[in-house]
Amino acid sequence: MVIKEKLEQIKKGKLTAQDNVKSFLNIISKKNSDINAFLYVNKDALTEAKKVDEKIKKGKAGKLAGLAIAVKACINVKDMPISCASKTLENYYGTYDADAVEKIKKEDGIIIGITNMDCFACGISGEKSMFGPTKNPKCDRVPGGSSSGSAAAVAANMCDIALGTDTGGSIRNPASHCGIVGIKPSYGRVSRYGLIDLSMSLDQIGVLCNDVYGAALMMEIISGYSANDGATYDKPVSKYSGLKKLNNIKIALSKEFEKLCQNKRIYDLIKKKAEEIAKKLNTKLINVDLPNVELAVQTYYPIVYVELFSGTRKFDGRKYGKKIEDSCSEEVLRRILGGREISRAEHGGRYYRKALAAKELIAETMNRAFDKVDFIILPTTPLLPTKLGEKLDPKAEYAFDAYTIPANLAGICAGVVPAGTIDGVPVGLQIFAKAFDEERLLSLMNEIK
Amino acid sequence: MATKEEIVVQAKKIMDEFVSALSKVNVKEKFGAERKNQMRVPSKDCPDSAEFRKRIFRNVPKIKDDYFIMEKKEW
Repeated sequence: MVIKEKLEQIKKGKLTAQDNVKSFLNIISKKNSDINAFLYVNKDALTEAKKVDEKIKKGKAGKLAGLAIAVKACINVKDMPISCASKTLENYYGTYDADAVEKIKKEDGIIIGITNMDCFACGISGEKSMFGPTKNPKCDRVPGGSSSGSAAAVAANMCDIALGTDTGGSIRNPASHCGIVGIKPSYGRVSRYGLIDLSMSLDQIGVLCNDVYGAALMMEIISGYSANDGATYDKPVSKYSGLKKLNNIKIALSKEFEKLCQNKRIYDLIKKKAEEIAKKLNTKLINVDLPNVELAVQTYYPIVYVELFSGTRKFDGRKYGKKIEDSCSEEVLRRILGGREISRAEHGGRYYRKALAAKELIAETMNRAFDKVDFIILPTTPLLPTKLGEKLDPKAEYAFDAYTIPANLAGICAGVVPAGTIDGVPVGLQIFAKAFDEERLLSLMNEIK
Repeated sequence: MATKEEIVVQAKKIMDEFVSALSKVNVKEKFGAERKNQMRVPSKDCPDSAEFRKRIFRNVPKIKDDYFIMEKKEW
């Protein structure tokens, strides 16, 4: 059942919050031992649902009343284990609610559990959790990462909506591989207060859902200025769930993105789908030049290495859990040690400074493109997801982010919707829109879905 | 799992390759200058306001007067 229909049924009393939560708990108990999407299931979920049912009867319930929401294990939820799927924080329980979680609870969404992820959000496959890999419910490939558990939970119908985080594609990559909808908001649209950061200048909390309406409704709730996060902008939040009809829009493809595709069948599928959308919306596809966008991966990783090294100095084993260098995955260790190495005084900040300057260049490129067009359509990943257990060297893994990273570097918003399948493997179509244009981005995603 | 020394060497090699690729484009390093589009209107909550104080102390497990009480493994 789609979210809009379900909310109507709950409102009319045809479905109770308790029944909704109970059905998800049943599915979780049957499937989670295999899929490993959840690291923790909220034992109070039914009690909380009962309270929501009482509010619904009194006509005082919020916009998410009765819906079951899953939260990625790096976003603080009070009294739940927020381990970042690491042994470092294995025994850490959230001491407060992140801003996004607080807003969900205020609208009577029920936190059903905490989802698995790549350790400290470092990974593209969902296999780098210290609590075992997550399986893709849709095919025999990896679910993608780092928000692997959130995407798998949505795809396996274990929850209504899930929160994820996206620093270089961690929502969009698993959304694509699991055949669901995912949105990365513009930088500064959603408060990061309560998020255990990977890279502070790029991280954003976003949404995964089976339908665009549900993603739009959640975005409407979690977006907005927060005094707790100095990076949020004080811009009004539109009614994203209104999902308007779009007129007179300009949609583009880019030759630079076509060149980056390592599987021609993926680009052909995306191009065909883009042509169908353009026809449906009575517009023509145009080409937009995006010089230097092919350097996105090389720009992104020095920034992430340095910011992860800096951001994890608090995990020194004295205040929180274990020392991170002694208890994390190999990929996290690579980024921390690499970040430490290139931050040494003898390098004079050369790596980070160069990457920041290139980030600026890519942001300018994207901004110039959005002076000419409204949306850019592209694939989500240059290859199909790998099989579980298939090894890639670090550089090959990093290349998987080539299509998602530009949006993070430019601070723009981006969404993924299912485009179809190739050999039974889901493929997501990605859309870029200019910063703070989430309303129209979600409307276009709705036209496609 | 590779040793820490091997990981450092591998990570440094990747970073060198990446930064070398960035050197091929003409990037201007601008530091110490605020960009116009990043300027923000100062928040109404100035640091000495009661609201700011409340926010700062909100998640602190132990408070005594105007101080945080920090204890090993307690936060």
